[in-house]
Amino acid sequence: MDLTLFAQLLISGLLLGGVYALSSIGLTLIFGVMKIVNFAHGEFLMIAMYLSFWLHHLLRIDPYLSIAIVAPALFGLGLLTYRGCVRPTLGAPHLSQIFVMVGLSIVIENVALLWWSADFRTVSLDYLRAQIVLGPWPAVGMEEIIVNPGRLIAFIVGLSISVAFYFFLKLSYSGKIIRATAQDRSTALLMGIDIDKVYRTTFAAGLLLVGVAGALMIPMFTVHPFVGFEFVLVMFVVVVLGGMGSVVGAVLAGLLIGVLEVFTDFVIGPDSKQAVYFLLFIAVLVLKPSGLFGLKGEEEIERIEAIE
Amino acid sequence: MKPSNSRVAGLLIFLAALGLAPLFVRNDFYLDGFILVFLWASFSGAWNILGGYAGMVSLGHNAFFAIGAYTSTLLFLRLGVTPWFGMLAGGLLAAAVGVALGIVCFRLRSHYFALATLAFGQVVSILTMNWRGLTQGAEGISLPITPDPGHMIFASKLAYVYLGFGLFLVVLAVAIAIERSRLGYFLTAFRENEDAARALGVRTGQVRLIAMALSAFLSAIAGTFYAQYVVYIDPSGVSRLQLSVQVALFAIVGGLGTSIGPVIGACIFVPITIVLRSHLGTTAPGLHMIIYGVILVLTVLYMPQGITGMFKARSARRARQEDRE
Amino acid sequence: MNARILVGLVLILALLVGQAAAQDVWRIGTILPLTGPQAKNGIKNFDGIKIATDMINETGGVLGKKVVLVSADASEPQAAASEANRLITNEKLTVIVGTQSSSLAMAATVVAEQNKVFYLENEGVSSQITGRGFKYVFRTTFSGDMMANQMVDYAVQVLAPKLNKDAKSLRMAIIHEDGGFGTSTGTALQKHAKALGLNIAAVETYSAKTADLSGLVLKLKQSKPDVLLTAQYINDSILFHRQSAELRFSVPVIGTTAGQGTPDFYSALTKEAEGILAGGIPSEISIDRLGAEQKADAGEFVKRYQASHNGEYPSPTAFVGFAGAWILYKHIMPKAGGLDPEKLREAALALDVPPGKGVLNWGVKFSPPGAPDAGQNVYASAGISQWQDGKLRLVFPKEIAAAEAK
Repeated sequence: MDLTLFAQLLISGLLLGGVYALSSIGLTLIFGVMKIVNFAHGEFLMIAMYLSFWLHHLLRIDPYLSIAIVAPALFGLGLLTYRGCVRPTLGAPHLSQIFVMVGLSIVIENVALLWWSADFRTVSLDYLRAQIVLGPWPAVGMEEIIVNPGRLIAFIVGLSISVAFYFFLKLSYSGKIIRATAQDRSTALLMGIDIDKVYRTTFAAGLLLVGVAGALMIPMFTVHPFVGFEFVLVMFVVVVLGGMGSVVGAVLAGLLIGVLEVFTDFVIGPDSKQAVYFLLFIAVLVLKPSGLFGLKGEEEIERIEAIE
Repeated sequence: MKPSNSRVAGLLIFLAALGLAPLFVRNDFYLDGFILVFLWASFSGAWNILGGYAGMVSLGHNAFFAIGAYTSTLLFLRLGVTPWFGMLAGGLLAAAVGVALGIVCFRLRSHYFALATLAFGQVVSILTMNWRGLTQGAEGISLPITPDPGHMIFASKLAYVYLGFGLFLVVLAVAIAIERSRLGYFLTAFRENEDAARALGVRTGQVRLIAMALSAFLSAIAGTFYAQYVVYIDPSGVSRLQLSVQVALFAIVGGLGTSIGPVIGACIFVPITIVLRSHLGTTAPGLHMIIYGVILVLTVLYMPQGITGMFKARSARRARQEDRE
Repeated sequence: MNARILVGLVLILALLVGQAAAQDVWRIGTILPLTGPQAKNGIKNFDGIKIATDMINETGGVLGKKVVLVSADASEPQAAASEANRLITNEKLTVIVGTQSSSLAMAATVVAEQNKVFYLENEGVSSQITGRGFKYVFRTTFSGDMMANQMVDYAVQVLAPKLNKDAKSLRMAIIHEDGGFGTSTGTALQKHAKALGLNIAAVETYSAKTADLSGLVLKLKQSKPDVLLTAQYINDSILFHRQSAELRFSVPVIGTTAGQGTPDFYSALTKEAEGILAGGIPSEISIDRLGAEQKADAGEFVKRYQASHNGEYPSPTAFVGFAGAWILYKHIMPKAGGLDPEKLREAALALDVPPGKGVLNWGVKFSPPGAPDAGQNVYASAGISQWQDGKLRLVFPKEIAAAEAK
């Protein structure tokens, strides 16, 4: 494998990973703060993609601009979903939390099928056809490297959002409240924090983030009623790998998965890539459940004891 | 936990009705319905052993179903082993895989365990698609259709009905046996309060592994039954994720952790699916799935104990009222 | 008492009239995936059948009686089997047309065969469908093998000379999606290429649902093929071509009408789709080269489809839906005199309609029992078409080609 090829694979992988990271930030936030797995997260991504598509198809609104509409819409949807489905199950056994979201995702998928049919939709933007070419660098023996503009945009936005979020959580008062709730719910409650408000806002924010992701993804990917399921599996892997609740972790894990995918495609074959990251997923869950980069997750695991 | 005599009688009457009804049905379509009810009640009952009794929610049971279907079929077509034995091989393989999965993943709490099983189920599903040398991938494997009872292929639907009924009775018996046994107590203890159970010396690890082994074994047998009935298996038929979700749904709506719950769930949902698909499939695509999803959400929110739970609550309330009087 | 007797009589009369009325039509069942992930194609296939039915009914039906479709939906194999059961047992049908997807077909045809019901497969390409020695299962469209053979033959007979290469030195790469369609086509491609002693430089499989194919593209680029044969669906073929263009991987591609040969493909890639080849049913069939009757039929079909689909040109799946039904209505049923499965079987096996005289550019001749592909319509040719100026023109086989390959 020559340097150019390696670099090309790497760049393609990082850009793909950027997309994965962007779509997973919301999920890890919800996971980290509320300790619930939003099994329907992929469906909300799908809704955002469709919304952006229809805005473009019917009103000629550029997907990147549609974020201004899609993000608040998903936020609102998040508030509704929280009220209707999530809050009632917060104190309930985990089974309820899991299956209420599983049930919701079944409903969303099939309502989308009913309303919007099974056709694949995508948005073709001419200005994204432009090629961004790096190099060549004959001095190092490298030829041109090609960068996909759409993914680059998603990558940059994803990175910016993560950085912004990281500082928000670290420095702002609200951020501290959220982190406090995530770390120790009961104490936060004792300190007078309105947990319901924190949860509500976090959940809605998680959906807002996936809304942004959807709008950024529709120019590059097609949407159909079952696309949510396909993406959600990768998102779970990214979130677990990165550590629940760690935004930075999600970004790094996303990038790692992207690179891993592209290299697996090349080295072993495209049919193996899913198996590879699922096995990685199980391995991480079992060996280092707090994720490669995360801190939380320890308390989620039982005291590890020998199986008697 | 010994049920009252009237309860036992009720159950026996119900089972007798279920078992005798097919004899009066001449219509292949309805017999097919019975077969599907028994198939799903069995698979769901198997899932319930782990998900209901042990409280470990698995979203990867499609893997065991697939292991059962492919193992017995491949042994049959490649080595001439009759599915009557092949299904046991499939069951044992599934149990072994399940136990391995359990050893590795039981330390995980519910959400994480669900995710891990989901990933596991997907890995097996991918294997069925990509290990083409073994499974013929997406093209699937066809079984012969010439009737051959020695190889579990029957000419009449009625034979399949009773085969399914037999499997269903076995799963039910296992469930009831667990409920009444110490294993059942230990599992309940674990489910209700893990730490207390441990403190009391319950070997929660071992106990759950037994539940997993039984659950996987019976799921695989259900897989073999599917293979012998549809006489065609492929990844979309036996290893897709929706299978796991469906069996969980039936158990939850019927009543998690009860022997009769999955049966009730299957008896409700299988006919609904068939009716909705026949009458609405063309006009409202996906409607029956929407209904599934809505029922699941509503059940989880308002009736998490399922239908059996609702009845238990009602009879408990009645008992309390009687006490007061 | 009088009122009640009257009402009863009226009801009985209504029933009798209803029965009589019911007997004045031909009832034909259809099983297609109208819901679930394959719904997109299932619905189009069904639309094709519906238009064929409308067209035939407007000219007086078959043998003077109109055709009524009894449709069933199935999105997974066991559902297909159950629905077949329902159509046969409850609806008392003796003919079923289906199924778009090979795995659905495999399950449903078992039920048909067990019940001696005539089953016409109009789209599923897996060789297993006609490879089980079933007596009541017939396939109107070409098999995956036939299409794959055409694709390889094209590469050898037309592309190799164009590239100034001798067939044996032609480096051929094959990629296919991992579903039933891709796998059966991919296997057939390899088999035929090997049989001809060709140089297979690479074979890769991938999941049609994947979001990224850059690794695959780079891997193929590495193997330096002269031609790429693919079995893909619409979504993944668009993704593949886009990423190939991006990563500067440019090779003549022979795809299929499940992917490259669809209107969706062209609208996504526009200019970049020019010159790409697709094996199978050409989406824009070269109607001008058909026989007069076939031309009229196909033209009428296209007109009606466009009228009910906002001007959208029918996709190949709609064409095969139409073609299968047309063969049934125009050739098999008239010869059989009705819907008796035995007579339909005999009629089907006795048909020998030369290529070009059936529907589209097909003939009708089914392989006899005992043949390895019993029930296969051997005169259903898969042609190779090429996008030229926004239209998919048939360029191979030469005898019925509408244009020169570029």
